[in-house]
Amino acid sequence: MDNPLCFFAKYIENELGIVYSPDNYFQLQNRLEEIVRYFQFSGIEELHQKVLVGPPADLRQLLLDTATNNETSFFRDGKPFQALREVVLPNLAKKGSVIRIWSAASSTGQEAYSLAILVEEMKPFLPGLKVEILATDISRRVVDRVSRGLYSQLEVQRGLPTPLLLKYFKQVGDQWQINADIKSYVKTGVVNLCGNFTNLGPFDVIFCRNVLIYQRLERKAEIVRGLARCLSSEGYLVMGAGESMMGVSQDFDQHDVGAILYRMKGKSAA
Amino acid sequence: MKILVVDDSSAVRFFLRESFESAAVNLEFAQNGIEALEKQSEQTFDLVLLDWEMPLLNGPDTLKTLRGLYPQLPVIMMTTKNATADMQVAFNLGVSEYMMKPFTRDILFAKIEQVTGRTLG
Repeated sequence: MDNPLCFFAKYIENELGIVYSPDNYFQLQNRLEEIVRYFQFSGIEELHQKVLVGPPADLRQLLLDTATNNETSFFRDGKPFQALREVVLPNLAKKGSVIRIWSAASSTGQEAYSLAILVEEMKPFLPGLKVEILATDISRRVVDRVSRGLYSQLEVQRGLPTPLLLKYFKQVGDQWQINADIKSYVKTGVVNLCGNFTNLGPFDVIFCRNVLIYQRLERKAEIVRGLARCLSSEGYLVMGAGESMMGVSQDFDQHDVGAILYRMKGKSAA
Repeated sequence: MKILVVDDSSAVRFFLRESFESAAVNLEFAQNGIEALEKQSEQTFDLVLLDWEMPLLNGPDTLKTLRGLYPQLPVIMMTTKNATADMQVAFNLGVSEYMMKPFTRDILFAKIEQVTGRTLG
Protein backbone atom coordinates (compact mmCIF):
# COMPACT_ATOMS: atom_id res chain seq x y z
CA MET A 1 0.00 0.00 0.00
CA ASP A 2 1.16 3.58 -0.73
CA ASN A 3 2.41 5.73 2.08
CA PRO A 4 -0.82 7.52 3.20
CA LEU A 5 0.78 10.95 2.74
CA CYS A 6 1.72 10.12 -0.88
CA PHE A 7 -1.80 8.80 -1.42
CA PHE A 8 -3.44 12.00 -0.06
CA ALA A 9 -1.03 14.25 -1.97
CA LYS A 10 -2.06 12.45 -5.17
CA TYR A 11 -5.75 12.50 -4.20
CA ILE A 12 -5.71 16.28 -3.63
CA GLU A 13 -3.78 16.88 -6.83
CA ASN A 14 -6.30 14.83 -8.83
CA GLU A 15 -9.28 16.60 -7.27
CA LEU A 16 -7.98 20.17 -7.02
CA GLY A 17 -4.77 20.33 -8.99
CA ILE A 18 -3.00 21.55 -5.83
CA VAL A 19 0.47 20.06 -5.69
CA TYR A 20 2.03 19.04 -2.37
CA SER A 21 5.72 18.37 -2.85
CA PRO A 22 7.35 15.93 -0.38
CA ASP A 23 8.94 19.02 1.27
CA ASN A 24 5.44 20.13 2.28
CA TYR A 25 4.17 16.75 3.48
CA PHE A 26 4.47 17.93 7.10
CA GLN A 27 1.88 20.61 6.29
CA LEU A 28 -0.36 18.02 4.65
CA GLN A 29 0.08 15.76 7.67
CA ASN A 30 -0.98 18.56 10.06
CA ARG A 31 -4.11 19.15 8.03
CA LEU A 32 -4.98 15.45 7.82
CA GLU A 33 -4.52 15.15 11.59
CA GLU A 34 -7.11 17.90 12.05
CA ILE A 35 -9.57 15.82 10.02
CA VAL A 36 -8.69 12.70 12.02
CA ARG A 37 -9.50 14.58 15.24
CA TYR A 38 -12.72 15.99 13.78
CA PHE A 39 -14.06 12.53 12.79
CA GLN A 40 -12.47 10.89 15.85
CA PHE A 41 -10.61 8.36 13.71
CA SER A 42 -7.79 6.36 15.29
CA GLY A 43 -5.21 7.93 12.95
CA ILE A 44 -4.31 8.86 9.38
CA GLU A 45 -4.32 5.15 8.49
CA GLU A 46 -8.05 4.90 9.27
CA LEU A 47 -8.71 8.08 7.28
CA HIS A 48 -6.78 6.48 4.42
CA GLN A 49 -8.96 3.34 4.56
CA LYS A 50 -12.17 5.42 4.51
CA VAL A 51 -11.05 7.37 1.46
CA LEU A 52 -9.89 4.23 -0.36
CA VAL A 53 -13.37 2.70 -0.16
CA GLY A 54 -14.98 5.97 -1.29
CA PRO A 55 -15.30 8.80 1.25
CA PRO A 56 -18.74 10.05 2.34
CA ALA A 57 -19.59 13.51 0.97
CA ASP A 58 -18.84 15.36 4.24
CA LEU A 59 -15.41 13.75 4.56
CA ARG A 60 -14.56 14.44 0.92
CA GLN A 61 -15.61 18.10 1.28
CA LEU A 62 -13.55 18.51 4.44
CA LEU A 63 -10.51 17.00 2.72
CA LEU A 64 -10.86 19.49 -0.11
CA ASP A 65 -11.52 22.36 2.33
CA THR A 66 -8.43 21.71 4.38
CA ALA A 67 -6.22 21.38 1.32
CA THR A 68 -6.92 24.91 0.16
CA ASN A 69 -5.13 28.01 1.40
CA ASN A 70 -7.75 30.55 2.39
CA GLU A 71 -5.44 33.45 3.00
CA THR A 72 -7.10 36.69 1.89
CA SER A 73 -7.74 40.26 2.93
CA PHE A 74 -9.78 43.25 1.84
CA PHE A 75 -8.28 45.12 -1.14
CA ARG A 76 -5.41 42.60 -1.17
CA ASP A 77 -2.45 43.91 -3.20
CA GLY A 78 -4.27 47.21 -3.87
CA LYS A 79 -3.03 47.69 -7.46
CA PRO A 80 -5.69 45.63 -9.29
CA PHE A 81 -8.41 47.57 -7.46
CA GLN A 82 -6.79 50.83 -8.49
CA ALA A 83 -6.68 49.56 -12.10
CA LEU A 84 -10.35 48.70 -11.87
CA ARG A 85 -11.20 52.17 -10.61
CA GLU A 86 -9.06 54.05 -13.11
CA VAL A 87 -9.22 51.93 -16.27
CA VAL A 88 -11.50 48.92 -16.24
CA LEU A 89 -14.80 50.19 -14.83
CA PRO A 90 -14.77 53.50 -16.75
CA ASN A 91 -14.11 51.54 -19.95
CA LEU A 92 -16.71 48.84 -19.35
CA ALA A 93 -19.31 51.35 -18.14
CA LYS A 94 -19.40 52.81 -21.67
CA LYS A 95 -21.26 49.74 -22.92
CA GLY A 96 -24.19 50.62 -20.67
CA SER A 97 -25.22 47.06 -19.82
CA VAL A 98 -24.67 45.10 -16.61
CA ILE A 99 -20.99 44.45 -15.86
CA ARG A 100 -20.40 40.89 -14.61
CA ILE A 101 -17.41 40.30 -12.34
CA TRP A 102 -16.24 36.89 -11.12
CA SER A 103 -14.12 36.36 -8.03
CA ALA A 104 -13.10 32.86 -9.02
CA ALA A 105 -11.20 31.84 -5.88
CA SER A 106 -13.08 33.99 -3.43
CA SER A 107 -12.05 32.32 -0.20
CA THR A 108 -14.08 33.98 2.59
CA GLY A 109 -15.29 36.81 0.36
CA GLN A 110 -13.04 39.76 1.13
CA GLU A 111 -12.12 40.09 -2.57
CA ALA A 112 -15.74 40.02 -3.74
CA TYR A 113 -16.87 42.52 -1.11
CA SER A 114 -13.89 44.78 -1.85
CA LEU A 115 -15.05 44.79 -5.48
CA ALA A 116 -18.60 45.59 -4.39
CA ILE A 117 -17.42 48.45 -2.14
CA LEU A 118 -15.27 49.79 -4.97
CA VAL A 119 -18.27 49.73 -7.34
CA GLU A 120 -20.44 51.50 -4.76
CA GLU A 121 -17.76 54.18 -4.31
CA MET A 122 -17.53 54.60 -8.10
CA LYS A 123 -21.24 55.06 -8.66
CA PRO A 124 -21.29 58.87 -8.26
CA PHE A 125 -18.63 59.10 -10.98
CA LEU A 126 -20.18 56.54 -13.34
CA PRO A 127 -23.92 57.16 -13.25
CA GLY A 128 -25.98 54.15 -14.30
CA LEU A 129 -23.20 51.71 -13.40
CA LYS A 130 -24.72 48.26 -12.91
CA VAL A 131 -22.59 45.41 -11.61
CA GLU A 132 -23.14 41.79 -10.60
CA ILE A 133 -20.46 39.87 -8.75
CA LEU A 134 -20.15 36.10 -8.51
CA ALA A 135 -17.95 34.75 -5.70
CA THR A 136 -16.98 31.08 -5.96
CA ASP A 137 -14.56 28.76 -4.26
CA ILE A 138 -13.95 25.03 -4.10
CA SER A 139 -14.61 25.03 -0.37
CA ARG A 140 -18.25 24.93 0.78
CA ARG A 141 -17.15 26.13 4.22
CA VAL A 142 -15.65 29.39 2.93
CA VAL A 143 -18.47 29.98 0.43
CA ASP A 144 -20.92 29.80 3.34
CA ARG A 145 -18.89 32.50 5.03
CA VAL A 146 -19.16 34.71 1.94
CA SER A 147 -22.94 34.29 2.08
CA ARG A 148 -22.98 35.33 5.74
CA GLY A 149 -20.78 38.39 5.16
CA LEU A 150 -19.74 38.41 8.81
CA TYR A 151 -16.13 39.14 9.71
CA SER A 152 -14.00 39.23 12.84
CA GLN A 153 -12.30 42.32 14.17
CA LEU A 154 -8.94 41.09 12.87
CA GLU A 155 -10.37 40.31 9.42
CA VAL A 156 -11.91 43.76 8.94
CA GLN A 157 -8.63 45.38 9.94
CA ARG A 158 -6.75 43.57 7.16
CA GLY A 159 -6.71 45.94 4.20
CA LEU A 160 -9.98 47.74 4.87
CA PRO A 161 -9.60 51.46 5.64
CA THR A 162 -11.60 52.27 8.78
CA PRO A 163 -13.79 54.91 7.07
CA LEU A 164 -15.01 52.17 4.70
CA LEU A 165 -15.60 49.86 7.66
CA LEU A 166 -17.77 52.51 9.29
CA LYS A 167 -19.60 53.18 6.05
CA TYR A 168 -20.36 49.64 4.89
CA PHE A 169 -20.41 47.40 7.99
CA LYS A 170 -22.53 47.15 11.09
CA GLN A 171 -21.05 46.02 14.38
CA VAL A 172 -22.67 42.84 15.74
CA GLY A 173 -21.09 42.02 19.09
CA ASP A 174 -17.40 41.62 18.39
CA GLN A 175 -18.01 40.93 14.69
CA TRP A 176 -18.81 43.07 11.67
CA GLN A 177 -21.66 42.47 9.24
CA ILE A 178 -21.43 43.76 5.67
CA ASN A 179 -24.47 45.90 4.89
CA ALA A 180 -27.32 44.64 2.74
CA ASP A 181 -26.67 46.99 -0.20
CA ILE A 182 -23.11 45.74 -0.63
CA LYS A 183 -24.14 42.15 -0.03
CA SER A 184 -26.79 42.37 -2.74
CA TYR A 185 -24.08 42.72 -5.41
CA VAL A 186 -22.62 39.32 -4.55
CA LYS A 187 -23.95 35.88 -5.46
CA THR A 188 -22.06 32.78 -4.34
CA GLY A 189 -21.39 29.24 -5.50
CA VAL A 190 -19.09 26.25 -5.05
CA VAL A 191 -16.96 25.85 -8.17
CA ASN A 192 -13.90 23.67 -8.76
CA LEU A 193 -11.63 25.39 -11.28
CA CYS A 194 -10.27 21.95 -12.18
CA GLY A 195 -13.74 20.99 -13.41
CA ASN A 196 -15.98 22.37 -16.12
CA PHE A 197 -17.15 25.88 -15.29
CA THR A 198 -17.54 27.52 -18.69
CA ASN A 199 -21.35 27.67 -18.32
CA LEU A 200 -20.86 30.43 -15.71
CA GLY A 201 -19.72 33.03 -18.25
CA PRO A 202 -19.47 35.38 -19.93
CA PHE A 203 -17.80 37.76 -17.48
CA ASP A 204 -16.42 41.22 -18.13
CA VAL A 205 -13.84 40.89 -15.36
CA ILE A 206 -12.40 37.75 -13.80
CA PHE A 207 -10.26 37.88 -10.67
CA CYS A 208 -8.44 34.56 -10.41
CA ARG A 209 -5.57 35.27 -8.09
CA ASN A 210 -3.14 32.91 -6.39
CA VAL A 211 -4.73 29.80 -7.86
CA LEU A 212 -2.28 28.90 -10.62
CA ILE A 213 0.77 29.06 -8.34
CA TYR A 214 -0.33 25.81 -6.68
CA GLN A 215 -0.90 23.95 -9.97
CA ARG A 216 1.25 21.95 -12.38
CA LEU A 217 1.86 23.55 -15.79
CA GLU A 218 -0.64 21.39 -17.74
CA ARG A 219 -3.35 22.14 -15.20
CA LYS A 220 -2.53 25.88 -15.29
CA ALA A 221 -3.01 25.85 -19.07
CA GLU A 222 -6.29 23.96 -18.73
CA ILE A 223 -7.66 26.42 -16.14
CA VAL A 224 -6.63 29.43 -18.22
CA ARG A 225 -8.33 27.94 -21.30
CA GLY A 226 -11.50 27.63 -19.23
CA LEU A 227 -11.18 31.20 -17.96
CA ALA A 228 -10.68 32.43 -21.54
CA ARG A 229 -13.93 30.74 -22.57
CA CYS A 230 -15.71 32.53 -19.69
CA LEU A 231 -14.32 35.96 -20.56
CA SER A 232 -16.35 38.32 -22.74
CA SER A 233 -14.58 39.58 -25.86
CA GLU A 234 -14.00 42.96 -24.16
CA GLY A 235 -13.18 41.39 -20.80
CA TYR A 236 -10.25 41.61 -18.39
CA LEU A 237 -8.53 38.83 -16.46
CA VAL A 238 -6.64 39.63 -13.26
CA MET A 239 -4.19 37.13 -11.80
CA GLY A 240 -2.03 37.17 -8.67
CA ALA A 241 1.01 39.44 -8.47
CA GLY A 242 3.32 36.41 -8.62
CA GLU A 243 1.56 34.71 -11.53
CA SER A 244 2.04 35.09 -15.27
CA MET A 245 0.91 33.60 -18.58
CA MET A 246 4.45 32.63 -19.50
CA GLY A 247 4.38 29.08 -20.82
CA VAL A 248 0.69 28.83 -19.91
CA SER A 249 -1.22 30.56 -22.70
CA GLN A 250 -0.59 32.61 -25.83
CA ASP A 251 -4.18 33.74 -26.18
CA PHE A 252 -3.76 36.86 -24.02
CA ASP A 253 -2.00 40.18 -24.23
CA GLN A 254 -0.60 41.66 -21.07
CA HIS A 255 -1.39 45.32 -20.24
CA ASP A 256 0.51 47.09 -17.48
CA VAL A 257 -1.74 49.81 -16.08
CA GLY A 258 -0.19 49.85 -12.62
CA ALA A 259 -1.42 46.27 -12.23
CA ILE A 260 -1.09 43.61 -14.91
CA LEU A 261 -4.36 43.01 -16.75
CA TYR A 262 -4.84 40.28 -19.34
CA ARG A 263 -7.10 40.70 -22.37
CA MET A 264 -7.68 38.46 -25.34
CA LYS A 265 -5.14 39.23 -28.09
CA GLY A 266 -5.66 42.38 -30.10
CA LYS A 267 -7.40 44.52 -27.46
CA SER A 268 -6.02 47.73 -25.97
CA ALA A 269 -6.05 48.27 -22.18
CA ALA A 270 -8.96 50.71 -22.36
CA MET B 1 10.77 56.52 9.18
CA LYS B 2 10.55 58.08 12.63
CA ILE B 3 7.57 56.95 14.72
CA LEU B 4 6.39 58.21 18.10
CA VAL B 5 4.59 55.52 20.12
CA VAL B 6 2.34 56.92 22.83
CA ASP B 7 1.05 54.21 25.17
CA ASP B 8 1.19 53.65 28.92
CA SER B 9 1.16 49.86 28.57
CA SER B 10 4.61 48.29 28.73
CA ALA B 11 3.21 45.18 26.98
CA VAL B 12 2.11 47.25 23.97
CA ARG B 13 5.42 49.11 23.86
CA PHE B 14 7.24 45.74 23.95
CA PHE B 15 5.04 44.33 21.16
CA LEU B 16 5.69 47.39 18.99
CA ARG B 17 9.44 47.35 19.65
CA GLU B 18 9.53 43.70 18.59
CA SER B 19 7.31 44.31 15.57
CA PHE B 20 9.55 47.03 14.19
CA GLU B 21 12.81 45.26 15.00
CA SER B 22 13.71 44.36 11.42
CA ALA B 23 12.10 47.43 9.80
CA ALA B 24 13.92 50.66 8.95
CA VAL B 25 12.16 52.59 11.70
CA ASN B 26 13.36 54.84 14.53
CA LEU B 27 11.06 54.50 17.50
CA GLU B 28 10.51 56.97 20.32
CA PHE B 29 8.22 56.20 23.24
CA ALA B 30 5.98 58.34 25.41
CA GLN B 31 3.74 57.04 28.20
CA ASN B 32 1.08 59.75 28.08
CA GLY B 33 -0.10 62.71 26.03
CA ILE B 34 1.98 65.29 27.93
CA GLU B 35 5.20 63.39 27.21
CA ALA B 36 4.10 62.95 23.60
CA LEU B 37 3.53 66.67 23.06
CA GLU B 38 6.93 67.43 24.64
CA LYS B 39 8.68 64.95 22.32
CA GLN B 40 6.81 66.25 19.29
CA SER B 41 7.89 69.83 20.10
CA GLU B 42 11.53 68.72 20.23
CA GLN B 43 11.67 66.39 17.22
CA THR B 44 9.93 65.79 13.92
CA PHE B 45 8.07 62.51 13.52
CA ASP B 46 6.64 60.92 10.39
CA LEU B 47 3.86 59.20 12.32
CA VAL B 48 2.32 58.97 15.78
CA LEU B 49 0.78 55.75 17.14
CA LEU B 50 -1.56 56.94 19.87
CA ASP B 51 -3.33 55.01 22.64
CA TRP B 52 -6.75 56.25 23.80
CA GLU B 53 -6.79 55.72 27.56
CA MET B 54 -3.71 57.12 29.30
CA PRO B 55 -3.01 59.03 32.51
CA LEU B 56 -2.46 62.82 32.57
CA LEU B 57 -3.58 63.47 29.00
CA ASN B 58 -5.58 60.88 27.10
CA GLY B 59 -5.49 60.04 23.38
CA PRO B 60 -8.39 62.20 22.13
CA ASP B 61 -7.15 65.30 24.02
CA THR B 62 -3.61 64.69 22.76
CA LEU B 63 -4.99 64.33 19.23
CA LYS B 64 -6.88 67.64 19.50
CA THR B 65 -3.66 69.46 20.43
CA LEU B 66 -1.59 67.64 17.80
CA ARG B 67 -4.13 68.50 15.10
CA GLY B 68 -4.07 72.18 16.10
CA LEU B 69 -0.28 72.36 15.94
CA TYR B 70 0.55 69.81 13.24
CA PRO B 71 -2.45 69.42 10.92
CA GLN B 72 -0.58 67.20 8.43
CA LEU B 73 1.00 64.79 10.92
CA PRO B 74 -0.31 61.22 10.36
CA VAL B 75 -1.79 59.83 13.59
CA ILE B 76 -3.09 56.29 14.05
CA MET B 77 -5.25 55.64 17.11
CA MET B 78 -4.67 52.18 18.64
CA THR B 79 -7.17 51.22 21.28
CA THR B 80 -9.35 48.55 22.83
CA LYS B 81 -12.32 50.86 22.20
CA ASN B 82 -13.94 49.11 19.27
CA ALA B 83 -17.39 50.71 19.12
CA THR B 84 -18.33 52.61 15.97
CA ALA B 85 -19.21 55.65 18.12
CA ASP B 86 -15.63 55.78 19.45
CA MET B 87 -14.21 55.47 15.96
CA GLN B 88 -16.44 58.27 14.79
CA VAL B 89 -15.19 60.49 17.64
CA ALA B 90 -11.60 59.81 16.62
CA PHE B 91 -12.26 60.60 12.95
CA ASN B 92 -14.13 63.77 13.89
CA LEU B 93 -11.00 64.82 15.78
CA GLY B 94 -8.94 64.21 12.64
CA VAL B 95 -7.27 60.84 13.22
CA SER B 96 -5.72 59.35 10.07
CA GLU B 97 -6.53 55.69 10.85
CA TYR B 98 -7.82 53.53 13.65
CA MET B 99 -6.54 50.18 14.92
CA MET B 100 -8.52 48.04 17.32
CA LYS B 101 -6.44 46.13 19.86
CA PRO B 102 -5.42 43.40 19.63
CA PHE B 103 -3.87 43.77 16.19
CA THR B 104 -1.13 41.89 14.39
CA ARG B 105 2.14 43.04 12.85
CA ASP B 106 0.74 42.72 9.30
CA ILE B 107 -2.23 44.94 10.20
CA LEU B 108 0.09 47.47 11.85
CA PHE B 109 2.37 47.63 8.81
CA ALA B 110 -0.54 47.83 6.35
CA LYS B 111 -2.16 50.71 8.24
CA ILE B 112 1.15 52.58 8.41
CA GLU B 113 1.67 52.11 4.68
CA GLN B 114 -1.88 53.27 4.06
CA VAL B 115 -1.48 56.58 5.93
CA THR B 116 2.16 57.37 5.07
CA GLY B 117 2.31 55.88 1.55
CA ARG B 118 5.65 54.33 2.57
CA THR B 119 6.48 50.62 2.58
CA LEU B 120 8.04 49.19 5.71
CA GLY B 121 9.04 45.80 4.21
